[in-house]
Amino acid sequence: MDALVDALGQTLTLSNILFVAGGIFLGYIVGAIPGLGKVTAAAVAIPLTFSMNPVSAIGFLVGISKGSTSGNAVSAILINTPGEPSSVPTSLDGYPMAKQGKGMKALKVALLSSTIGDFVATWVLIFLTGPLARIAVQIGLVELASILIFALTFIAALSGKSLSKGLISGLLGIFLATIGLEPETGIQRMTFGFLKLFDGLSLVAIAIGMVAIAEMIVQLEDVMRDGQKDLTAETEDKEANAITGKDWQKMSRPIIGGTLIGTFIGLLPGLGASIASFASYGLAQRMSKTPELFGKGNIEGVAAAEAADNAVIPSSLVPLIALGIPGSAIAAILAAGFTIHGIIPGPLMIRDNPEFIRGMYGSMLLASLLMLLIGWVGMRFFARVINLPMGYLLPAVFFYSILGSYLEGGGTFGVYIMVIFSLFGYFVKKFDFSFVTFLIGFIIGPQLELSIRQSIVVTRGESWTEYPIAIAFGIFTVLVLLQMGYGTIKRVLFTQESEEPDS
Amino acid sequence: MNLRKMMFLAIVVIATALSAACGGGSYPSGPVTMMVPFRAGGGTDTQGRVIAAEMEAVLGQPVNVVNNTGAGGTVGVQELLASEADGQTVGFVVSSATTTSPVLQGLDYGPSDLKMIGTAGTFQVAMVVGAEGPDTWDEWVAFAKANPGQKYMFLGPDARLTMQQIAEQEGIELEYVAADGGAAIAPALLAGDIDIAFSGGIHSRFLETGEMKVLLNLNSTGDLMATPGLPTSMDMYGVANDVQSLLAVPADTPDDVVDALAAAFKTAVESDAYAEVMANIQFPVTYADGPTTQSTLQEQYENFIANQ
Repeated sequence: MDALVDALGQTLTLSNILFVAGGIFLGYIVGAIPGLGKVTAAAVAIPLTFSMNPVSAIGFLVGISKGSTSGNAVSAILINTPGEPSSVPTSLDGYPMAKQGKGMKALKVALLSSTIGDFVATWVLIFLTGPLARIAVQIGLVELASILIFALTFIAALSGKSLSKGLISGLLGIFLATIGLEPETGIQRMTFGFLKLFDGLSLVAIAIGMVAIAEMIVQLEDVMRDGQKDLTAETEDKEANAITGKDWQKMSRPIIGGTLIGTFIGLLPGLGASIASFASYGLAQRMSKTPELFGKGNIEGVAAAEAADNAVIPSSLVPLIALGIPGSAIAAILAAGFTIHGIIPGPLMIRDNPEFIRGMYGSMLLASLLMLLIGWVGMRFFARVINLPMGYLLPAVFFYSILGSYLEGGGTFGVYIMVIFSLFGYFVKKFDFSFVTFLIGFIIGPQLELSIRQSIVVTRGESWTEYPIAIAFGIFTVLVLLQMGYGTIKRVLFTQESEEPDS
Repeated sequence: MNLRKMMFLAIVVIATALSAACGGGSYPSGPVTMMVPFRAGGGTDTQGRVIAAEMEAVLGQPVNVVNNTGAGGTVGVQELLASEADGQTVGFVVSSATTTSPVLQGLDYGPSDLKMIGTAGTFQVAMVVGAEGPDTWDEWVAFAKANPGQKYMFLGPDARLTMQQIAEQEGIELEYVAADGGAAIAPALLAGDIDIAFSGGIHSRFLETGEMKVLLNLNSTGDLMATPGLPTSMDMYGVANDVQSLLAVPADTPDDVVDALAAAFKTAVESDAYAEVMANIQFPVTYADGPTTQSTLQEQYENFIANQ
């Protein structure tokens, strides 16, 4: 109890509240701008924190990361231009909702789900950091490989209408992810000796191009053909804008699932927010009573993706605080913030800086609540974006997409990549291939390759009984595949019977 | 001549004089870009940002950090080499990206293509084991000889090669596991997935808890800060894995620019802010001036090529 009072005392000073609120406000705006994400926002903000006291500095950075994660949903929903890869799943159902005139409702669902995911994961961080970090350590290289393979199976559910087209784009994503230096020997793969390819293609630039720009081209095409449609974020019908008790019933399961998945994935260094939100979306679809409505404006999809995306942030601090291992890009930036302010992430961090840790926890809880407040006010303002004529919207989206690709994609080269992949993304959309499975393949591919190769070496000479967790995930994988395969086989057999092959 | 014309002339004269005073050869003529070849938030990046802030105060111009990541730092170094040699772009890089990495990656440059402004600090590079591992390097070697197939986790081809050379001399057979970042060895050692690892410095956080033990110093000179008195790989096997953080510019940068940078860099490295950050990550500040850095790296480079 004393600790709680102390935490509140440190947190609820006027200056600290202002720094956290300022961080969220900045983050929310940056996040809501298409093409810009939290890593850019937080990295740029680090020098601003040099002169702050440690608790305010970390509160500010935490505010930025939470605010921008939440803000990312705004552009994903309203104009289908996710600020970063992890909010792509949000746009899958959020944007169709916006097109149906339910943009405001989608924004509300996103904000509530992300606040809940974030708030719960923050409490998990506060109370369970020690034990969870020790459990997470038991998840070694072999277990990580098995979890990645398992994650691939329910992501396979996101293939869209055609499983084979989904697999083709997924494999293409994995293939393109192999470009760069091979991790073990440093041998170049498909770089053609081109310096800029040594580090591989930039995920951010690809995602911005394939999702945001390609979408803008498609929208532009529609406008040129049909003229500007009148879209509003709110329908006249007050009922459709509010979140009803029925909606809460539908949302509760995806939110709980997303929070659990996000928290779990955040604990494991090397997986990250994108895998969490895609996996949560995929799982929600599998578990849903109405899986066929996903991708057509289902609030379950928005809730699942946002809850997971936001739950990752607090829980990726668990390995950082307990062991000094950053579990995500944002945790790495916070680690730099800690170090600059004289706090060393690592096993002794809690023991050596108990007051700071309490102050930081307090700031994080404060940030959850302020995010809800700022988001609730902010969405009314941002929702007007949807009414903007294409002539104003397009240049802005292009400008920020170029800026984002430049900042996070390694300079001018990132912009080229973005342009190339916006054309690629356009044709992917036109020919009904899945850009979602492409991105998943591209995101998971390198990690999957490394973990499998590591596991092959690590398991040499060991007994299989040493890996019960990996075996359990292996069995889950087989079961899910059998279940999916059963459906497909049944359908194939059925169609063959009904329309006798004429060959 | 009417008043308006006189005013115009006066403005032209003043503007010309001002621009001559500002741009006429004085360095820096504008904001300086500091390339850091690792991602934001890592150890090198943290050091670079503190140094940039301190240098800014001396140079009187903003010093902006830009992260050009990839391939153990060689992407950033090559971009530095391609930049204009006017001191407006400087690189805060690691020594291995100018010595061993380009050789291993088959790249066409060496330390002599850069002009070193000075050394800032030394990474605490070592072979480490987990809590259940042996206490000394000799014990580990004896154990590894008796139990072939010990698992070694390394970061980058340099660290793989170092262990291969050691294993060859000792007649040990090992399995090699690649890591994907400096922090990856911690969970792998703690989970017991691997037996020994190359550490670029993260081990210092786990010494007090007894979760890691340091067996062999991979720096060619000087003790490790947290664990003095260890044997060095240089003495035992003639190989090393030196990594220093340093500031460099392209080789044909004018001398007056180099001098201005060197003065600012020295002030920054000797500042309290840098000392504090380095004390936090348990890395020693090992300032060395430009010529000393240049000759040290050249020696490491030639030694490495001779050992290949």
